[in-house]
Amino acid sequence: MKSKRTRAASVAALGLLLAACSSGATTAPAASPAASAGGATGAAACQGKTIAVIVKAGTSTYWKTVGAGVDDAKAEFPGCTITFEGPDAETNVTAQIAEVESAVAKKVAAIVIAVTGADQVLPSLQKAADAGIPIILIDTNKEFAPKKAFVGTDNAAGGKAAGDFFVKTVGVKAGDKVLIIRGQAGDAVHNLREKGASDVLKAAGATVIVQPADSDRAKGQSVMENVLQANPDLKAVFATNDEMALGALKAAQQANKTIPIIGFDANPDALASVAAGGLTGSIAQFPKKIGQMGVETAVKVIAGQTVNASVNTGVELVTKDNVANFK
Amino acid sequence: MSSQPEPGAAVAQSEERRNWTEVAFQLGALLGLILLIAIFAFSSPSFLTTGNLAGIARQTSVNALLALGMLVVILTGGIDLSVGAVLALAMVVLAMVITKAGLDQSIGLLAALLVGAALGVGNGLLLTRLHLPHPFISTLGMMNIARGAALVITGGASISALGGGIVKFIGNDEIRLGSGDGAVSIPIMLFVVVLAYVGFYFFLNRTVVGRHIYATGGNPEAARLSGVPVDRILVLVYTISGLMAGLAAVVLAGRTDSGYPNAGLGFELDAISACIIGGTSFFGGVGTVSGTLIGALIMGVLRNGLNIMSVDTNWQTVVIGAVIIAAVYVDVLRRRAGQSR
Amino acid sequence: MTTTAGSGDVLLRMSGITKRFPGVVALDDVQLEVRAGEVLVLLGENGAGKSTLMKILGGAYHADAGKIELKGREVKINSPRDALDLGIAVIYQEFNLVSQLSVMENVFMGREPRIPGRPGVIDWARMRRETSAILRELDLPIDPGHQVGKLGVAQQQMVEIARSVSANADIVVMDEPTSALTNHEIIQLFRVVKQLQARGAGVIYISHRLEEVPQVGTTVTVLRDGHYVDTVPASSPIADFIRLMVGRDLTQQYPKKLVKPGAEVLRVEHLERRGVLNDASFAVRAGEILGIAGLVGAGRTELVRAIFGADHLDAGRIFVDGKEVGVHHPVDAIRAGIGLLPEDRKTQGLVLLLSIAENVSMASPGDVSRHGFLDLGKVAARARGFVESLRIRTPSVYRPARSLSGGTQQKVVLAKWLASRSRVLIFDEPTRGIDVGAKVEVYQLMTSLVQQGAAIVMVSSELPEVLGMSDRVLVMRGGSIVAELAGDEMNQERILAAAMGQEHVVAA
Repeated sequence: MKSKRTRAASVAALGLLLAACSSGATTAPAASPAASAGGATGAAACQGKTIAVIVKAGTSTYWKTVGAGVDDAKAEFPGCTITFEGPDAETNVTAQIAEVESAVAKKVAAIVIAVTGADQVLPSLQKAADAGIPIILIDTNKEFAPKKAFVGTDNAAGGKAAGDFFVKTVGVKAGDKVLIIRGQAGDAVHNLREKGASDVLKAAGATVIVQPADSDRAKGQSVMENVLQANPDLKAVFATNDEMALGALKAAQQANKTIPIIGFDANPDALASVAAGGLTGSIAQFPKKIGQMGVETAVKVIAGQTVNASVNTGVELVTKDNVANFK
Repeated sequence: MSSQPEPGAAVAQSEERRNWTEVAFQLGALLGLILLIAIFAFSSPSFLTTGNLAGIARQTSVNALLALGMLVVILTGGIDLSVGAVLALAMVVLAMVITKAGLDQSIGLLAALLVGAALGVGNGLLLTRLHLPHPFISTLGMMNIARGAALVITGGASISALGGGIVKFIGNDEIRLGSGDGAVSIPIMLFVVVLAYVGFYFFLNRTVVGRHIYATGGNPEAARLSGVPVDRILVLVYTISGLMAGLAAVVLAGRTDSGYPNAGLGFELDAISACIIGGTSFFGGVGTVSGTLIGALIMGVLRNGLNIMSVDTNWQTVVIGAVIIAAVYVDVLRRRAGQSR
Repeated sequence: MTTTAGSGDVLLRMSGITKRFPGVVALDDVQLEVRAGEVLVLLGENGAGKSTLMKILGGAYHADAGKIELKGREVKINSPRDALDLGIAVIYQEFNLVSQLSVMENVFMGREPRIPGRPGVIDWARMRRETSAILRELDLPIDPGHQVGKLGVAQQQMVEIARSVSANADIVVMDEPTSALTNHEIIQLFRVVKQLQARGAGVIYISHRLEEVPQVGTTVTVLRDGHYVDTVPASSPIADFIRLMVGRDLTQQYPKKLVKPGAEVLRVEHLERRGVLNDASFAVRAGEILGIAGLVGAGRTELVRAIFGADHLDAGRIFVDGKEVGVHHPVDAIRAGIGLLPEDRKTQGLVLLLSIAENVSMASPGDVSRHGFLDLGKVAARARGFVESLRIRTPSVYRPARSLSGGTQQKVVLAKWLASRSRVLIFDEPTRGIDVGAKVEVYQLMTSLVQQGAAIVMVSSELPEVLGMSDRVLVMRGGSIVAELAGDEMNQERILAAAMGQEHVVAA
């Protein structure tokens, strides 16, 4: 899952040691008979060229879903070679840098990348841009002048969707307390999700309590227990990923309280909980679309067409009413 | 001549029983804990409530169990970086045994303990048989292997809804004492932790093997030349550490009603911190069960209190770091005071 | 002070120095005087206060009272840095060298020459030049660029001395400089000390080896129990030094009693360890003390460690009471009744952090435990028994072994083997680093052990000790036993000749 970033600094540093030697790269040939009509112009533009898609971790579920979207794009553009690769762990920044460098060496026509880590990869991306390779950022937006476009979830919009639900449907009003359990301090994605929700809630006059739980289920549970001790009158809870939401749900159940809780990511565990009446909801994003639209945008850039600087792949609040569509 | 002050004419006082520095030692860490509790109790009325104290017990249990295992390892001058990952693997194996294989929770519990112990034996053998230069390396490797294995067998997904049974009983259930508003709920896992600490106290202080652990850490060569089976002791301490990670996995699985492959990220650092705050020496041979409990409580109380006071997210990280450094520094000062006698 | 043989001006005068540690007065009104060109030997038993006094001079400790004058001016020494700046260099037993760096970097540590006008840039050429000059002056064949960690102990010591010379130290303190040196290296050291003397420096020299005193010293100051006793010329009789140090005459330094030997207890045959031991065979009987002599590196320690199972053997057989025992690990040797009192008690004999009681029971926990659970009462009671019978001076058996002096630590190691009922006791350098009074006690214990039927194997580099205590002597050279001497043949000349491979010269 994208929001499950490895926390402990040491683990990250140590991970580099071992992982630097073994980054899982999967390259697939372009040949795919079922070409869709949608990208006819682009197909010609990228004929015989290579587009490198680089994600944060080649093997995790979330990124495999992104990869499925890339596979859809391959079917659209049978003439192009589209490679899909990523380090073995999201923390393995050096492996991603190496992948960018090798894409430059292979003189690819475009790089579609979900930048991992803080900004360590940007200098090598700058070199790629200097070499005339167009850069499309997916999933995680960055301050990076040469980028042609950003394709991904509007995380702030996701947070806002949860906040709107609390205000409009749950009926959170001025003076009510709402807890936001967020991932690691400083993480940009969690910042956006937190801000999207808290802006709406604060506008409604609610008191917003923000506490960190490192995207971990057990820590989410502990934080919820503790906040409930001091604030037994909590009106609603938004967690910036599903694991923390499920932990918070456990704590609420333990304390015999029914509090609306919304998570983020719509992972299978959370959807099952939503269907069973546990979690109130979860914000779904569309990783498959991120992969597909990322490549489509790259093809347009290669073809010399203008593209939107920001392509939103959409978010949707999954509740008991529509959960069946997401299974 | 040694660097100690020379005994000189006579060391006057006669002192039987354990030397008092050892007591003063733990008193220091205990004072730190009391100070922390006083600050939080003063700042928030919800801190010193029976409900919150039970919460602290629940939140501290996993780290307290891991720290016990870590203690025996650090006593031999070693380190076990794999406990968090071993916990994750044991936890997902437990969850899969229960949900995928449909077996009773007791089998899941045994499987978790077995996985923990087996990986611990692995750590010990890597160190003593392959002669890897330092347990830092062998357990670092094991950390990656265990974490990777947990991701592989689950495909990266969490497993929820483990149902009822012994795991739920240990990690989730409580005993209610009294009735009405005055009722107090004591988590079952608290009994597990207390039992483990009492057991380890006797093991480390009263058994031959326990004292051999101290001897191995204090001076491995002298221990070997006194007939202590040093290699076997080393394999044993890593096995104990793995076993405690397995037990912690049972508690965490019961508490969260799930098994997830990203569980226990960074837990090894919390366990090491608890030991060091409690006065355990990285060089081996020095450290106590009671000190480790105090260290684990300081970590648990700190996280709980910061949540209760709704301290800003970014500042929490700073405060935790500062308290760890302060706690260890107080210990350094105390030790220095103890040396100049 | 009485007469001093030193010729030059007074460089250093310490007077009224008092230092208390909680519960102990380490130094009480101690005085000391060093003149230019003088080598002052500081004598005293362990615990007499020598090291404390030197740590005060070196700035590691602060005196509670007293005055330090350098060339007539009173000075305050608050840190090791102050001492260096004042021209006082202290060479501790544990060297203050960075073994990964080169000789010249160590010599100039903290005072690296810089290239003028370029701050922070080291002038390597000058550093090498000046280091070479000093090494040449001291007549030391050491390459300034050599890595210190690859030098031998003796040469590392020379690097320390070179550092004190390069710092222009007026006062050089050496704490037991010869304890780890071979005879040849000691001669070299003495030559360098003479060089320092010739430069007009004052040397303070701490040693336990009384026979060195007349060779190296000019004056001797004796401390006892933290008090100043006397200052006498280094040419005084050795018996005088001993009397001053212990406060009484030691008439019987080697309390050897002849015991009628009993049955053979230990026999080893054809012990082999590649590159270390060649075909070593010998036997020792109950009631007998077998000395093993030889130069450093002759394989003596290696031989006894192999018998004890501490090191691996390539070939050979070991018999105890006529029955062969397979010794693969110290556990096997201990079970067969063998105990090793190693050369280095601190790193091999004791777990210093643990109590006396625990150390005593370490090799035989079975006697004081049931089903793996220790009976702490028995552990303490057994230790108290040994504290009494071996006269171990300690206020409590719960004291950590670290708090004891060298001689007392040796007794605790011995207690460990007596507790495990060892009948073959192997003493490797039984009195190294132990003060004179305690030495005699160790000898008395050895004597009473053999009287009670034990067999003792004693490795020693001190010939008087070998001659004074042994019934028979084996001499080793290059990993082989080259001579067995007893009776009239057992004398200093024969042993030395055999040890150095010159047997035929003496025989002729």
